[in-house]
Amino acid sequence: MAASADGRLALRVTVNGTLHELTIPGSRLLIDLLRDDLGLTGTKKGCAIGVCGACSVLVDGELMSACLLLALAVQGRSVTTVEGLAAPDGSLSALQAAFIAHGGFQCGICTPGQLVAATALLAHQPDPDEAEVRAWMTGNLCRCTGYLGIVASIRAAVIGEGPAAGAGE
Amino acid sequence: MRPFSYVPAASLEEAVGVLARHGDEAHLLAGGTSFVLLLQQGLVDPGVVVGLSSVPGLNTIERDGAGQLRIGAMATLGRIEGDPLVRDALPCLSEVVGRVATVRIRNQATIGGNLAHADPAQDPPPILLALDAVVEAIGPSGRRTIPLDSFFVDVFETALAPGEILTAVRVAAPSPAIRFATVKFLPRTVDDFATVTVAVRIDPSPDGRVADLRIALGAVAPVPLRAVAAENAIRGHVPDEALLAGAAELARDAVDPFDDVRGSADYKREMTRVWTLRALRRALAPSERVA
Amino acid sequence: MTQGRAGPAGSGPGGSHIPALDVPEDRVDGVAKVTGAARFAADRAMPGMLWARFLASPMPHAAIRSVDAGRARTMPGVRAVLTGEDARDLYFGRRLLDRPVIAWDRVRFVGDRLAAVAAETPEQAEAALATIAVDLEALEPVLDAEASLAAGAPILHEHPERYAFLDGKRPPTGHPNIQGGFTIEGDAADLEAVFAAAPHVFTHTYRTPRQHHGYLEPHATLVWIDDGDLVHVVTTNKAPFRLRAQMAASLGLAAERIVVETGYIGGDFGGKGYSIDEYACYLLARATGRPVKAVTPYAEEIGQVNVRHAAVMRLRTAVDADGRLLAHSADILLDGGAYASAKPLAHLAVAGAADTLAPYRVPHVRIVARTVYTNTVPAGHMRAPGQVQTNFAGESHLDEIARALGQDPLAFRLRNAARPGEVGATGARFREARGAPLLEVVRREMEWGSSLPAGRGRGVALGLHHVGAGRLPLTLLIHHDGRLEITTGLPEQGGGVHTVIRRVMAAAAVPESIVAVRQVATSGTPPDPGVGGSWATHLASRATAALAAGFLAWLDERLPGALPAAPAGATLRDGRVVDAADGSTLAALDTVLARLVPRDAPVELSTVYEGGHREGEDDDFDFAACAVEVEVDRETGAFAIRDALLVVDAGTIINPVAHRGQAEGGFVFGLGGAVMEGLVLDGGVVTNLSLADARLPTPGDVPPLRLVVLPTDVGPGAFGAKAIGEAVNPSVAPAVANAIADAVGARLRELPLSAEDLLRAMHRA
Repeated sequence: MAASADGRLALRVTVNGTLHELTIPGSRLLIDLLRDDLGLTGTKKGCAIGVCGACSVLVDGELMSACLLLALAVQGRSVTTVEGLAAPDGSLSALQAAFIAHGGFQCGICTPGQLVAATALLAHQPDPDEAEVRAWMTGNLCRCTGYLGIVASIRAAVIGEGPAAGAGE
Repeated sequence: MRPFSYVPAASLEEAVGVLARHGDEAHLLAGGTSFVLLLQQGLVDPGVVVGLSSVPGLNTIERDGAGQLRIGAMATLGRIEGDPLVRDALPCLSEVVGRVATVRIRNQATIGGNLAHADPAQDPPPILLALDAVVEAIGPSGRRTIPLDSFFVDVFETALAPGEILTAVRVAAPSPAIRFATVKFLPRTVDDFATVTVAVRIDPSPDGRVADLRIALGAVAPVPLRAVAAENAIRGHVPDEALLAGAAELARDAVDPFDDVRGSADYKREMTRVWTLRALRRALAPSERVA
Repeated sequence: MTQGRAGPAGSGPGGSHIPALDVPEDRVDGVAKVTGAARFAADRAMPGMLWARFLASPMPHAAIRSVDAGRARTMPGVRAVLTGEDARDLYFGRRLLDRPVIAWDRVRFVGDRLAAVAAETPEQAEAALATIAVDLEALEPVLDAEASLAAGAPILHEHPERYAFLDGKRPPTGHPNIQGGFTIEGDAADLEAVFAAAPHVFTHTYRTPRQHHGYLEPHATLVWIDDGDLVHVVTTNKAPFRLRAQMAASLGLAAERIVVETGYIGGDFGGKGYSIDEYACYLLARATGRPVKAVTPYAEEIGQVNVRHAAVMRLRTAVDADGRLLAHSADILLDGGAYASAKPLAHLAVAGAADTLAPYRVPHVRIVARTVYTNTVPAGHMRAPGQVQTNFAGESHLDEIARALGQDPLAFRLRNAARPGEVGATGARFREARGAPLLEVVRREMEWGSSLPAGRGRGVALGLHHVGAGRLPLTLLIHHDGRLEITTGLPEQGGGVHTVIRRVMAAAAVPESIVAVRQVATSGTPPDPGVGGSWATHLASRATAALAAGFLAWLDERLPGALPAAPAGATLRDGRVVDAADGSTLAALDTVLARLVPRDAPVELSTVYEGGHREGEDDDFDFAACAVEVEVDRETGAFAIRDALLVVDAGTIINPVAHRGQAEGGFVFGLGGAVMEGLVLDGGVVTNLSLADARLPTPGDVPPLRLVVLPTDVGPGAFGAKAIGEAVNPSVAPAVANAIADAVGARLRELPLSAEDLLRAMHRA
């Protein structure tokens, strides 16, 4: 890796399947790279210290906090954000659809992180029980739902349930 | 935070060289979970950051020739939690690292960063003290090993010399007869730093006495520490309730906690007594699963 | 024990049956929020945008000797540095403008601004702050509410007469350190005589801490001034028109020169009614000619923006030999912090500050509620403002009285709960008093009275919240292509108000598929009050119902012209114009609209709904009861909630998924305040300034929760809708405190309830 004259460094990173080559300062955080340099504002900055989970992203499939990663730490790796969860044709993933149907969000600020975390959970354990869902999702705070709608949404996506009972149309 | 340059080290030798060249200006970066917080709070202000994630092989977990488990410094807590070698030889360690913070943090935080950061509230040090772990380090004057017992010096301060890098932690796999009990006491919420952590290791002797033991405590002093007086009170004796209760009181008297949102110093002292006693009972309970 | 949703929400009979509302809602904001496309204020950027950062006072109370920003102005990337000298006499606030935009003579809390910097990057702005030299002379601080009223206490605001007061005249306060307050008196003349003659009188004091809202979206704003000198403000504020009025008053601008635009709001809970950075960003935009953006760092969010009032509450109650409440007096002292700036109501207190025994019948009452100045972070509105404090006090107090009298706490509440036709302790006339039926559900569901193992206990608490009222305009645009578009100034902060609008249209026979709800800036719609105060569903549903009726009447009048062959009695059903007699389709709606609406000139219908409460008439409330079973570890004081029950009084439910989410979310919100939340101050400085230390509940902290809904159709909203958002959270903390007392006999009178305090209380007991 070569540093340019002003101390900026070259970064190659794949985000949601697209390769980006940029030069950035060494101190750039991944969260700011995503939001400010790449315009991917779906990833949110909340507490900025790795507690709240609003900035959850996948790095080579592993769940991480974009606010705690230097952008250069993902050199050559593949990052997935909430913008990369739906299919290329825009159709929603089972988790995304379930979050709408089962009260998985209210204000929506934590929702990108919740969905990224839940996507990582199902990749890691395709059929989690409720206790496993709660344990895994403990790192993603939500101030609106009280979590029960989120847990119900994830369970519904696992068992392939459609909209909440009563949606009989 | 001022702008800094970033050096992704290709080898430990390169990292040692950069640290030597830049002195106090340089800072090591492992998983980053504590480093970025320190940056934001202005507690570190480096000109050069040396990344260790690019050093090949630094996250390896292996059994060495002597039967010891050697965990590379850059192994993440999540990796240690799920590693088959660790699960097999040190289930107590797997269990403890699995209780650290959240999945996301465990995927980023490394065991080397955890120990070198020397935050007394961290969960892994007490169980590693109970396991009599040793850390390996490399520096300008070569490689050496440091027993964990003498590694922690003060809050955020270790026995590592300037320019020295922690490269691995080594643990002898305990015999199946040895019993462990670990506690992380969280009275407020399931995701928090502990009010107190306790790790107890009991080496029983066939005659019912405790041949040897270690009691290690976290979050209740400037450094993770062993309750030596409590260990001495039990070692060589057949344990009964009065002996354990007396030892737990000695553990309480050994700690030096500070007041914070997780409890007053008085409360943490009392919780040290209660949870040390409970951990001792659990480790000695005949029905208790080994480790 | 199962975790989480323990079965479906139970429900009693009642409520209007509207078939279109049986279907779970499809949220208007759904796809945007699950794909990351939803834009929040912090997501916005402008070409040439600068970043603002602010220098906060390190002292709780000090005179400013000098602020030297000379070096900061020369720092790389810095385009403007403003100090108090550049903002003299500029104050801001929601009602009383008593907080300086940038302090010039005095700082009154750790967080008062001493300088504002605009630079090309946030890091450059931050670096410049560090070079500003500040010379402060420490003054004696007032650190708590009781000290504020002590003899000889420093006076924090020496010239309150200089502060503007929006919409009227500030009521007199009697003491310069009092921000405001109010008194409730019901038959107070005989009060002391009743106390003197009563067989039992109980006095207890309760305390609650400052609390942060805990929304995960920090305040953010982006301000620019366009070529026509219009001031554009993108903001997290949930009441855009009110912010416009506040900015106009503060900055001396005409309101029409300000355009306030709100995107989605990432959690409100009352905290997003108050904005701070907008004012200084305007000054920086004016100084630089560039757009200026500010996002509050989370530590400043916790310690410097606005918090729930800390409270000290002294309650005194007289009871007869049978356990009937005879008289009640309460002194509610609320710590307002350094400024009253964050409070919107004319009395500059919080509405729930007198609700100690609100659901109960008490003949003689005197409740004095006061907010006072201290040198701490200003206090404002937070979900059920005042009630979280007074419900904890009142419901704990009732439990203590019942236990002292040897009576069952649930039976004691039932004996005193206001029945239909009776007036509550604060003088509220309930259109429908529902305390007793809710408590009966608690009795049944909790198997109240059955024995529990040692170390376990049950507790209950009852609360109520007023269903908000007000005035709301809405506009409908009928398009040539058959789309109906409703424009509103109401922001979507998660409560689902945009979905309420679309659902009410659907209930009036206009299918959701052709209805769009679009939020517009203040320049594009008549003024509205924003969201909050549990009024959104009431106002939006009624305004939409009126708009739907207006649309149907408009259509009805024009149908003969559009469909000359149509029989009389043609009507709209499922998006088609049908023959009312046999239901046969006459035409698709879009065909009809294409004939009635010119291609480029949509027809505009508008309505203004006004729903208020008149003095002396019945008023609308949501009642809620919470009951829990706890288990206490006697050696550590740690307690766990093993079972929780929520019984809520609901009007006709428009968004069933969101309604349940509000109830569950309200419970967990209340749980956080009950057992873990609370700012810790040391010498006026907040010390738990991160979410690592100021913890919020996680999924692993939520106990098994059962929800029972008791519907009715007498709410003020469309079809009898009521509210839910603020009804639930206050009762959780007293229910837990009461269960702990039941389990181990020790009483905690201060929030949050902690293991350590309980261990100490058990040792005392």
